[in-house]
Amino acid sequence: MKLRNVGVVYRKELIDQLRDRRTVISMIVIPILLMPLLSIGFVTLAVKLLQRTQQEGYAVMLIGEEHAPTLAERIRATEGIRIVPFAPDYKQQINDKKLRLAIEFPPGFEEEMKSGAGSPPVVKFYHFSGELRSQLALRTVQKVMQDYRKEVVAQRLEARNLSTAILEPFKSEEENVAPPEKVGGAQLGGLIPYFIIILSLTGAMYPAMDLTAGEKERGTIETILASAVRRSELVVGKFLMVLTASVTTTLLSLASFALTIVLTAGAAGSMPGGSGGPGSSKGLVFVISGKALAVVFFMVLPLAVMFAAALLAIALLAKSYKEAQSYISPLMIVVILPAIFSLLPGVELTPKLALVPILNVSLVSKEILSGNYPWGTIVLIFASSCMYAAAALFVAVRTFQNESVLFRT
Amino acid sequence: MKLAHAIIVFRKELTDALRDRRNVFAVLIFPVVVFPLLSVGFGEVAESSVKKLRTQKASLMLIGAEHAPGLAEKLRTHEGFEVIPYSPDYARQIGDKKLRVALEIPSDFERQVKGEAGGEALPSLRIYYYSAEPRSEAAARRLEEVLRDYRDMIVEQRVTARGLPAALLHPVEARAQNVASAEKVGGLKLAGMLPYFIILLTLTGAVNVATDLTAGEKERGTLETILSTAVGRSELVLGKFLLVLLSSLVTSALALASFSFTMQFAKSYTQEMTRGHAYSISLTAVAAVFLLVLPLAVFFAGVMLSLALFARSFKEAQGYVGPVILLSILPAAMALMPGVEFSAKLALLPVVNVSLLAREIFTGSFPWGLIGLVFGVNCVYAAAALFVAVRQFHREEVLFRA
Repeated sequence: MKLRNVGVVYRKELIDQLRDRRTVISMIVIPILLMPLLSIGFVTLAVKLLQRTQQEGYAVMLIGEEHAPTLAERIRATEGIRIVPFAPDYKQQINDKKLRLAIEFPPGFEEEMKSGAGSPPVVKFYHFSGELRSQLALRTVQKVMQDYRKEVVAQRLEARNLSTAILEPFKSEEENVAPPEKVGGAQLGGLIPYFIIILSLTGAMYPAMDLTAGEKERGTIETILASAVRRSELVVGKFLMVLTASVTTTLLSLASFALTIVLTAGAAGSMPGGSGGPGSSKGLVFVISGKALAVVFFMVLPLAVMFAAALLAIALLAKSYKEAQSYISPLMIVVILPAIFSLLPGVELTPKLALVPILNVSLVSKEILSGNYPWGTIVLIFASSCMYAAAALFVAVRTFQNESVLFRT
Repeated sequence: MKLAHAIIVFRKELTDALRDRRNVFAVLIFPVVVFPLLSVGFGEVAESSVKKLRTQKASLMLIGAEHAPGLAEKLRTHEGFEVIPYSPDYARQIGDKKLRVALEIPSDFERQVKGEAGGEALPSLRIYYYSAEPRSEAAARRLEEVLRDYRDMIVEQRVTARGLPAALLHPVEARAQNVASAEKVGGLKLAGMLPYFIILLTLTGAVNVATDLTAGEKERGTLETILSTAVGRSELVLGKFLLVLLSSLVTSALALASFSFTMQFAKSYTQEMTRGHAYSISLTAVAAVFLLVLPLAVFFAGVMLSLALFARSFKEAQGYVGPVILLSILPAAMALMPGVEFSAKLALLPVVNVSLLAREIFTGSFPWGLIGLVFGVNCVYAAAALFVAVRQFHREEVLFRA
């Protein structure tokens, strides 16, 4: 195998791919521009729809309002709540999402609050379990109730000449001690490896099909085989082209993805009902170190080699573009699944998982992006990915040397 | 235009598509076997990982445990925490995910609480955690709960110590009651996923066939031969269009059937999705959704045919079709967004209308007026797409682009 011949094949394929400007534009420029624009439009629309209903307020019905005038007045004055007049079919209305919440006050509520003599009266909230707007309305009203309850307790203590200070024995505060780049890594850490892995696959898909099944369909593969270039040189040249496409797509899409995030972060931050964990109200912080990104990219490289070689070998089996497509689309789902593991909250890297091809890169990248560098594991995973990549490349070369595959009927 | 000719073209394309057994197999195996297995399998894994998050013991470090022996004892015996010995580098350990959460207790805590200090002297507990890291956040939340209970307990003790009833502290009892039917609650999650998958499969079912029947013919050089036959252009488009439509409908129908079949076997996953409520899809719902999807499939088939015909090669067609898929995925995903609801204005947006309305239908509401409106609107879009496709086939400069 001569490296120079490989270079010739590679250059020929590269020129071939880049010659058709329109195709280059449709394959690269459109997706890169479209992705951020679409996501922005979509997020803006969704946010607008949600904001509009928030401004209108959630429809809430009060049942037996006259039993609790003080509390009812409070709820009426609450922002984001729109009180609708009583109707007996409130349960049906909640089912139809016309009404979000109904609150039932028992008779004698107000008097009981004042006297505190009997057992506590029961206030019933009728809601639609699991439905977002109903839950938001419920949470808002419950907060009002909470404040009201505290007031009543304070009044009762005062009536007995006791200090309300006894109600608060101590304070508690929460503090994030992880550095900002780790927080950014935890927020986005799962998403980035997922995207890089998927992109390195999709970027390799079309060139791999075009350079093998496409050649068969155009009837040009025989001509190339008749040239002075050897089979192995031919495969490696084609393989390098596919790898180039894969890496380029990944880098370009990542750039556009970063742009999308920067542009939509403002809009997405104002979405209600997001993750309501402690401290998340501070808004999203996107701090990711360049070193981490570089190491992640380095980890994905052998993976891209494996994808390129595997796709070449599979697409070469097909007689036509159509057939290649139907072999490769299921493959995509098979790759997406292990990649998605990095998005799951509870899954962490174990030595056993370090040997599972795509999953290991996905999980270790997540660690790296959140600032942890388990170097032993990183080297192990890199080495195992390289082995998988070499095996895939070997299979691709072997497939090209198999006449019965090249000229299937 | 003769319908008989269109049908001949359709039969020819159908035979052509079905001839290659291996290809048919590969096309079918994806929606029928791979797709439901993977989605259910993934759901199971996701569910078990969330469950693990909920039940696993979280490591907790107490800083100054000796200042609050009562609270420390409560935390040591708590089943959700594993208290580990103190070490000064707790902040770094939290960042390295070796430790989930740490609680700092100020000196004199117990004494101040006993002495009922107030105002400035109020003792303050600090929870140290790793923001945005799910396990650390879950541990911090659990710790807050324990603190809240502890606080309530102290307040109650203080009140009873003064000879007052503890009931004084609980003036109201709030009781939340779900009034939505089990079917609606159970269908909430599934009902958002189903339209998304149906729309996506309707689209992907059309894509490969549409590119093969247009750009593929150009690339193979067989388009000229077909055009020279006695069949008219419109009949040709219609025949090709019918095959694309068939493929689109068959793909989504097969996937749905196999999906509901798989759901029967993945009980734990299904129950998680429906929150343990009974949920089934009525025949009326299936029929209504089919009514909505039909014009959408026609629309997709028309759009895909016109786009792919414009391309000179398979590769170029991929470039055009890819963005359209992206363009449809996002509106289809609208149904997955909680809180976004259908309104008459949204009925005019092509894919969004089906996505949101189908979700309503799957949760058991049948707003027939809106269903009729969306059906009508989508028929207009479908007719327009079909019209464009026919026009494209009549234009020589599109058919023989250089």
